[in-house]
Amino acid sequence: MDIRKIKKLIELLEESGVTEIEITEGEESVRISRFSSQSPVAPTPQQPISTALPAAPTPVAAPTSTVQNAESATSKAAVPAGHTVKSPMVGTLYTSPSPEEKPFVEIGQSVKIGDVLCIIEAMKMFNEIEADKAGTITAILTSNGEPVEYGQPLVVIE
Amino acid sequence: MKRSTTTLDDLVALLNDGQFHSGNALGEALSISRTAVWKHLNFLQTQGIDLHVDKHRGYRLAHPPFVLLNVDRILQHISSVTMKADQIALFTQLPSTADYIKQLSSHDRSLPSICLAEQQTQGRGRSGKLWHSPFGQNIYFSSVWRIDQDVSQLAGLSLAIGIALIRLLHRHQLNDVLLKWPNDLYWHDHKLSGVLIEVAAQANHQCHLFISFGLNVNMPIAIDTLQTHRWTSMHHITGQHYDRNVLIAHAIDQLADAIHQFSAQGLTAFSTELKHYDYLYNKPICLSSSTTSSLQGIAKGIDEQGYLLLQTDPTQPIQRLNAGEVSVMQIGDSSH
Repeated sequence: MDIRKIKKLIELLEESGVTEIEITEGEESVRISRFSSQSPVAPTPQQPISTALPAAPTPVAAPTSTVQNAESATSKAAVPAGHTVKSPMVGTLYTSPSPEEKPFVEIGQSVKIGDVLCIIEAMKMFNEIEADKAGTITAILTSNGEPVEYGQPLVVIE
Repeated sequence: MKRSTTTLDDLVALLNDGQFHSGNALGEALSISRTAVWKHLNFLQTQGIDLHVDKHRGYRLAHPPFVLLNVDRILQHISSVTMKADQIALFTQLPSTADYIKQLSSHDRSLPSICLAEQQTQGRGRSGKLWHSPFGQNIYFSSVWRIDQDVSQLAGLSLAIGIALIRLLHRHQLNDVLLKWPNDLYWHDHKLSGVLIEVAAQANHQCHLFISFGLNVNMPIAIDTLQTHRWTSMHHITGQHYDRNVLIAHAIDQLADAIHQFSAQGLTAFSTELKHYDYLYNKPICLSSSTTSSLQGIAKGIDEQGYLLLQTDPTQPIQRLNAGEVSVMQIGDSSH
């Protein structure tokens, strides 16, 4: 499912006052919930739910205290349970091999161990993040070009 | 095209005396047919190597010496690692040495493994920019190494590799080359070399490093190219011809040393050189990326983790950056 569509759904949810919504489209389904121990925070365009990370002051600047923020951000939406692939390094994340190409993976896609999920760059050193578990991609928690921290959840495989 | 360089190598060696050789004589010397000789000569000409052809006397190289890559010659000059011939794969032409070396990783083989090509048809950087690639002039080098480090500890490795190449050039008396953060070598505002590093995490806190670089060696640079593309070559700088086999062997030495140093001491081992050879320091730069708006400011050096320091505004704290394409702004370019 398209990240932009999910973002729209979240905005819809915020406007309506509904606490939870589940959409099924073919084999893909997404459940978004506002139910959380914290008071709901309206997502802003700089804080799409899919990113699980607050927008850094600049696109390429290394953010500070992102781990806590990432946690509070994920709690805003229900992340499907499953195996979470975490970032092994600090860097900038790319969802496709190059700007013109299709993303490595999309929600609903099945992956084998070793399939590339995304690339993280730090100072022109590129690290292909591979699936360490076979299954279906149930969530993509980051978006293209976003800075990521060590240990930050990137993708959920179920 | 995967093609053995051996016969071509021998043919070029014969022609390197600068004398005319008849097709028959070349065929006899190489134990190949007259047609095979013609095919090789024709191949050299299509690759832009100038040959003088004389109806009676035969063929000669217009600009000798022309030294092709040769695995044995490379091995002779390596001193800091033990390598065997089967660890170096050499191609006349390859789409991309970086792609080739990555496909090797699934096999169990001795590391480091090196891949070289006389010419690349699809050499690349991440941004998809093509690396101009004439036959037999430059170095297109890819390699895979093992490092006993977790991937989280590799921040700044690309800078260490850049310094390794600067050390290589020092060894060949080219002293005024600077490192443009994070992965290019520049000589007087002209690009001489570019590095691409990919890393694949392995079990037990080990990683495979895929290190590729392009280095312009003997490529002649036309004046218009100098202005439009801002490339240069070692030959253009010094007027000398270099044996690329020796440079490659020394590059392997420097990479081995730098990887060893990095795994023992991290980027600290390179900090003095990073400061000394920082091309961007105090220059007005623009940092752009494919996904976000660009940033402008003054480069303020490289920190201990290899991040670029950027002062966007004197009233704001300095920003630490780990990705993006850097271009130096010319006077009048700035939108400030």
